[in-house]
Amino acid sequence: MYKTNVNMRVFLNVVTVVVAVFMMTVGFVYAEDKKKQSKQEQFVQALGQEALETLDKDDLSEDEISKVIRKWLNSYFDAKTIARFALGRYWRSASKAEKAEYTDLFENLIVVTYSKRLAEYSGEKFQVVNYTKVNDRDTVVHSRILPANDKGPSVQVDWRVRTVKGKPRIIDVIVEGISMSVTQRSDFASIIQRGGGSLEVLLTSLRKKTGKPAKADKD
Amino acid sequence: MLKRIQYTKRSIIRLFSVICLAVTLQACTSSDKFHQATVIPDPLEPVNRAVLQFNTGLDIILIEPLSSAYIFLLPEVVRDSVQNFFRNLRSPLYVANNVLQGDFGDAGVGAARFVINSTVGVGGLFDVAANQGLGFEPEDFGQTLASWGVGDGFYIVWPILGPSSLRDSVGSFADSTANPWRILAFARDEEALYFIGSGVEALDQRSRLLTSIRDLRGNSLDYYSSLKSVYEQRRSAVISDSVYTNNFDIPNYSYEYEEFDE
Repeated sequence: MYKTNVNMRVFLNVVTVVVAVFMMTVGFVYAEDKKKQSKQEQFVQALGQEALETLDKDDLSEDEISKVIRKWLNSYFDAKTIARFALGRYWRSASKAEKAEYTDLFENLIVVTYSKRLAEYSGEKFQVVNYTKVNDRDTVVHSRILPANDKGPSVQVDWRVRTVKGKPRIIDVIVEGISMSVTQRSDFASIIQRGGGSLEVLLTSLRKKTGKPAKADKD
Repeated sequence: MLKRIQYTKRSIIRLFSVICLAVTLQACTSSDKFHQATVIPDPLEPVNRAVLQFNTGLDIILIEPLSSAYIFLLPEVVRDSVQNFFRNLRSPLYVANNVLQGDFGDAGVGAARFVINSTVGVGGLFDVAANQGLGFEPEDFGQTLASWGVGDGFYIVWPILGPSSLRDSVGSFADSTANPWRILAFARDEEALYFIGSGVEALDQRSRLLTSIRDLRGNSLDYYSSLKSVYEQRRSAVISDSVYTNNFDIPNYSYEYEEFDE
């Protein structure tokens, strides 16, 4: 009886030590990870900062807004990955020319869409909260958009960041749980399916959507 | 006596270690809580498309202008009180659903909110509980059914009410049957009061989605399909109680683009 007790005690002490060592290791790895990953947060913070500073100048013309959005698209996002994901399985059967045109049209669509969205800007504030690792490739940086008067609910915006050719690049934006990429992919797939599986129908749609950006959307 | 104290101390340390380990493991696996939004089957698509078209028409000629007028006529404070008032009336439902989901912590939060906002918050007109860290967390019966493992069924677009699924329609029906506001009004033979209240509540909710719906309608190529995707993703997010649910894989496509990068 006494012996069992001693053995038990020794065993539990060993467990305690193992647990403590394990926790220290995990804590260390976690801290290391956090230090490395906070680059992604800084990256998103930088985009937010730049965007707010630009938007605060209220005398920007539509043309200037489009230009600055295209600049951000190139320096902060990986438009090719976003475009490729949105087309899904229809990419493989597309010809080289179709792929090239689609990628161009897709970038134009993003520029048109976000020009409109940013035109609605009215003094909201932007705050990076933290981040989560999704997998080996990607990190999601969580942020909040706060209303200008600090009252009312904030909107959660998540940025999926991947390292592309050694540089951080955003490959998806998720607003309150709704991924722009997933929504777009389902949108495009539906257009193609309803057009009898033809990519041309999507391209026509995109040409129309991006051709006359100023008037087509005032509905 | 001394021995017993020492023994207790050691036990506490051990217990502490185990708890720490559990918490650490929990932190390690927390990313597994993400899940991918499911695509809801849509056998009624032609009918659903027609209903959505009807809804959009009605919205453009009547509901959207009414919502704009509502925002234009009433100051934000008043509109917030309208929202708070109806949320507070529904909060017993949120508590009940939390209990049914086995989430007793959130049920307690909901109950505390109801008590605080009904009294200090002047009958629910002010959400004072939110300032005390008791945030608004709605739970509907559709979510409860989902937490019991009930699947979506199929996609349904209801006239006027909009997108839903078979499961969430059953949920909404159960919620509106159990709605304290309805029970109260019907018990006092004031059915009209219930319908007026529901109308105001719906108008308030619609007015908060003005820009989002205008954005989705204007920016999607096929509004029907985009709206369905948004519904699927949003439901998936609220069911899992985490906003970031999209744990889908985005493959590394860089090699596919090499042909452009020459």
